[in-house]
Amino acid sequence: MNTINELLSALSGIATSPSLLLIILGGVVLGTVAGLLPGIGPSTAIALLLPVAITVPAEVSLPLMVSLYLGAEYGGRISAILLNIPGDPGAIMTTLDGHPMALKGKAATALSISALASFVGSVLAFFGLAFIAGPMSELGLAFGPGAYFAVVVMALVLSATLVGSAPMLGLTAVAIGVAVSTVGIELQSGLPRFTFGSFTLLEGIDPIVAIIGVFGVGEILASTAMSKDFQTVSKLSGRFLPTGLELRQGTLPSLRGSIIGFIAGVLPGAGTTIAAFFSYGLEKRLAPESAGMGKGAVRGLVAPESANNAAVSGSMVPLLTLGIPGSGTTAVLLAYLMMYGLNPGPGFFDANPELAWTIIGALLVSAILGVVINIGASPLLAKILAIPMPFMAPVILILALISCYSIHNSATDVYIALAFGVLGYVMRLVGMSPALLVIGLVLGEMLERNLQQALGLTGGNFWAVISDSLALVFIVIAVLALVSVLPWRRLFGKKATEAKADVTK
Amino acid sequence: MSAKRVTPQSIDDQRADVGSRTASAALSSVVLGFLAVFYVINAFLLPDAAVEEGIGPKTFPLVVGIVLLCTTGLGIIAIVRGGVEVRPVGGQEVLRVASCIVLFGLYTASIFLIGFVEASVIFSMLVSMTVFGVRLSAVRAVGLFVINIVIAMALFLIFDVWLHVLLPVGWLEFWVFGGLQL
Repeated sequence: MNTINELLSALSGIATSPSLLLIILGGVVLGTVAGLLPGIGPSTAIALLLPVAITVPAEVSLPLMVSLYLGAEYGGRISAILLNIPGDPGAIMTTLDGHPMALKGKAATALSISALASFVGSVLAFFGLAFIAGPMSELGLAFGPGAYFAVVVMALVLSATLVGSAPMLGLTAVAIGVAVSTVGIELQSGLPRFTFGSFTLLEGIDPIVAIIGVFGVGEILASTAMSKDFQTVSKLSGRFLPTGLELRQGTLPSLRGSIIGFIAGVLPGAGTTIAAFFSYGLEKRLAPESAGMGKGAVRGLVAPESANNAAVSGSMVPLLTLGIPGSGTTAVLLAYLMMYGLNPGPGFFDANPELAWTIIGALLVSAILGVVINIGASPLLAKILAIPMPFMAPVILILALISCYSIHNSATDVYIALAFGVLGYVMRLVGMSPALLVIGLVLGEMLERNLQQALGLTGGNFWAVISDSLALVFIVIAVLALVSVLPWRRLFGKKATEAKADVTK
Repeated sequence: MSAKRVTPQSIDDQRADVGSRTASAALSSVVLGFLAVFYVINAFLLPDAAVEEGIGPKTFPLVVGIVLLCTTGLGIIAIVRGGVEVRPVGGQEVLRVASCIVLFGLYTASIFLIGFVEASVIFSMLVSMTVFGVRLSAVRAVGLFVINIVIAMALFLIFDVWLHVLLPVGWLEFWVFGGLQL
């Protein structure tokens, strides 16, 4: 009952605040545009909002960011359907049936039916988040530093093994992130580490600078390989409103996709891509041959779309209740929360009830605004796709410069972002996910701090830390996840890539 | 009409129609390997201050460094053995990436010399034309120049004037915004 009251209070607070509604609307529009443009995902767009975040309070900027995140999941499907290029990684599976529908002259139908599926996924997952977050946050209060250390280890291992083509490279990306988090003054001893005499590095590397580098600058460097004649936008043909038959065909897959998406979102690191991947795989197994999966089937379009939107709310569960990011984008959100001095995790709902429920409420409002904008403004959004990357890229780089520069009014942060951009480019060459580096970076400090506290409590006995019953459960899960990917063919990524190829067949 | 199957790899293949997977694998292996070795060596060199309980400042980075070294080593083996999808990279791409890096570095330095708007306009024109190889007639180049001025001024207005990010001021933004005492 308390949850319902808190939720209704937050929703009425948003509904009666025109400025907050306007901010959420702005977030959804920005997110949709960021999502539909290949190369600018929600992580990049949220990272580039840094100057805004510095200026306004968390009560304003966080609803803006979560609405942007959900808007990006709506927007990603537009380029997937019209261009055959996923606007964001979560929309990869949408290309498989969405673009064939567009080629059949049903682009408008594909856009509207996928927007409805995204809406279903967003709303169902919103209820999942609203009713799970509170109890899970209470549960998290039982975690001591040892259990927390184990949770972070589990989150890092699960992230590394679920994302990307090769688990070893996933672990490498996570380890790089953790390594970067050790730069700066070590809080217990006060000694500088890896600063090489630089005063700027004494404070450590700001996670937002690294995020802007690997996502924003890195993606632009990777896009230099794109041909300038690459984009061929399909015509917005066909009827906007789906037929009754199409709606019936999409109902069950959409519900299944929502559930899978929410669960995948809750898993640390899995995020929208894995959600869409699993839901499409399930529909492919369930669909009869006559369904024409991969040739423009409605179920093949709606299932991943419901899933990737549901994963947004799902990924908020571990972020708000445990302080563990459920996706790359929530890792960026975690960095912002830490920047504001807020500590998401156990006790977050008790310490900041209004903010926590406003974030959750903003997701529902964003879902409603998202479906209205994405169906109503489809022709306009499709036109944005015609802007070629050669003219878009400099603007993104300028925004990256402003965002980094705004932190300390110093060029040093910009050069650090550039270095991370080069790293992000190299990582993309071998299919390493930059999101994993970010997850390692934002969790690295938490990992070391909890380990130090746990060792302090146990008199420096590491075995006592991990033999605590709760910690042991998480460590066992982490070890099982590692063991499941280490042997033998999967050690070097072959099975992962084969599995991927199998689903996309 | 048959739909073309899309995978991340096929998108990458469209991105880089000419290129070498070997060059890409070598480049990524060298960068990742260098990072891992560099981190481990510096972790070993950290002073180990005595603490009553828990761990000193050296232990955690050292453990992370060893994990990083091991996973990077296995990752490089995976890359070299072809167990990982590697996007081919060509000489032209390397040149474009290098020029983009240099231009971005110069742009960052130049905003303090000539102002944000002026540097941004020059940077935008150069990135479009050199990094992405856009060829423009004189008329279209002038049009793009004007659009870039408008975009840069709009960004200056949003971030400097409204959001109070103190961007370096050049003569153009001083003339437009400073003169109006906004």
